[in-house]
Amino acid sequence: MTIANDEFTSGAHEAVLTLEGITKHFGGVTALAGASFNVAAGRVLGLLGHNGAGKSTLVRIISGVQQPDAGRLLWRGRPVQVSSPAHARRLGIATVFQELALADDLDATANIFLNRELAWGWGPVKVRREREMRRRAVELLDRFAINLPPGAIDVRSMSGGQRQGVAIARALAGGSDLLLLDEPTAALGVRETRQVEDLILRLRDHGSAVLLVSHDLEQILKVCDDIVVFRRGHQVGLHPRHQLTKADVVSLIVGGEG
Amino acid sequence: MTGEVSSSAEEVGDTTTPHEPPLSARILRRIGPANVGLVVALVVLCAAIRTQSDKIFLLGNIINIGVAVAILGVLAVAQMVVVISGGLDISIGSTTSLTTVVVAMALHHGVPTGLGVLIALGVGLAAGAVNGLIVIAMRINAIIVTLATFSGFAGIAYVLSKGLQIAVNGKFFLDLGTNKLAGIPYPVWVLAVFALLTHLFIRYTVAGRHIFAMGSNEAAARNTGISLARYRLGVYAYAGLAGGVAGLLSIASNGLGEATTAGADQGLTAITAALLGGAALTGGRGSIPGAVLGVILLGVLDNGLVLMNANPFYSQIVVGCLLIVAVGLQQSGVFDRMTSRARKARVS
Repeated sequence: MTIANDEFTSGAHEAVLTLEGITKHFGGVTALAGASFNVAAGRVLGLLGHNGAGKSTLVRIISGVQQPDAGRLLWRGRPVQVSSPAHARRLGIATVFQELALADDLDATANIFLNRELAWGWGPVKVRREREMRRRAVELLDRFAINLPPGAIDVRSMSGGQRQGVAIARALAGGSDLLLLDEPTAALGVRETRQVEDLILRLRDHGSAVLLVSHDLEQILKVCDDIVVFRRGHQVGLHPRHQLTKADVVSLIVGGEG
Repeated sequence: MTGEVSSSAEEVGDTTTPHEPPLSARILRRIGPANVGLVVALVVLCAAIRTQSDKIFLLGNIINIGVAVAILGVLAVAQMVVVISGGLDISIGSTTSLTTVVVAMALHHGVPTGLGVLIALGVGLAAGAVNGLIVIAMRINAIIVTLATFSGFAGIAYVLSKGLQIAVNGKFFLDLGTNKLAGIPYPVWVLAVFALLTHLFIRYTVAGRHIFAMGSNEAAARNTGISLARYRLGVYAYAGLAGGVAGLLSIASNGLGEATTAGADQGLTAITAALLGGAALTGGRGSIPGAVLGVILLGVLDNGLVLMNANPFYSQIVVGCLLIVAVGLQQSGVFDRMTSRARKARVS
């Protein structure tokens, strides 16, 4: 197999997820035509493009919500069909969605461990091990320096950045190898955005593979190691960050028009 | 802010805050901020009644209140769970009515008492399962589904009984209705055990947390792989079961099975009690102690009007006003602010 960014991800950085010619049509419209790239451990790959470029389709395919019409996905070198979101989670692909998908009336620990609670007992009567979950949640939050208000308070009363921290911690707690962040700062203010960006860099330094989908050019330039650009469903560029200037990226995004 | 969230703080301890919170904050967390208003209302109400009558705090009177609210209590506790899960069960009172008719007819035809009790639970479970299955399979809003079965179950009860009262004799129901254990009447025991088991279940088990989660944010819960359909079916079946239990208590207290609108009324009052107890129709909020307090408030109110020789029909007006005030206070966020103050006090 020949993957466009092999030359800079095959070295020290192991490809966790590989896309080969991923294509998706909706009726007569080609949403995605031949997306091919690697997402590697310990690197942040930025996915850029205007609305309608195919970003959302790609996110849905990788997170198992939709199936590609052509092409294939490789997980750690093995071909896989990501048949459902549950399957994606089992593989180790954690998606942090655009809309903050947290249960507002539960606290951070409860959200982080939702549907993977530690418990004693059998059948419908499993008693939660609240203390142990709390301990592990605090440990996890500390490890990635995610600052939350102390105590067990519901996430409703947290700031947008803190909530995004909880959502990412939830993804990490599942032992995911690949984090798919879909516009993680779209709803956040300047300071909170920077906190999340710092967190993304810490995730990378801890060896996670991160795929960051964003329309925020500055953000992509700031935190990504590699950048892949889509325009009207077509992959128009895949480069290491250091080879690109801002002007390069802009012209990739807008094409001939720019 | 709910008892759930605030009391989980108490349970897990302050792993991130070494400071001992002040006593006021600890008491507030133990009661649950949403329930503080209820407790205050209850105290004020008792004090007001006490000025008019010295019987309110007599043991016998308190026991009377307990017996009077037992059926409503069972329904309100179940309703609380349904509302926490993000649903609503309007039909629960009709289930109770249907249960009394079916069991009374079965007993009339010589079915042994033990089997009669099982039939009651079975009718309740089946009625609840019907609700759950329609909600899941046809994706119709639970309010509409249970409004339909509210009418349907009551209709079945009328058809079966031909609108007649069916007398129930027999030691078991007589005992259940009139006897005491350790000085406390059986119906109160039934409510206490039912409420306690439900409380422990939703407060400490994995399933309980999932029920809160699905009520709080359905999409988020589904996204984590929680089977919403399974929990929905479970929650409505459980509510139906509660309707069956209430049916048994109703037979015991009236000595008969009957298709009445009284049962249906209690089903609706149970929603009121759950809402007074801190449930939010948007789901994810509420607690069983809240539901029990709500029921006690309604019971004391009824009892107080009788003690004060007031027209008991006033109670319905007061209940209506109370509900508006209680939900208005909840939505104003005053309880949330109380919690955050308590939290700040704890941190500093």
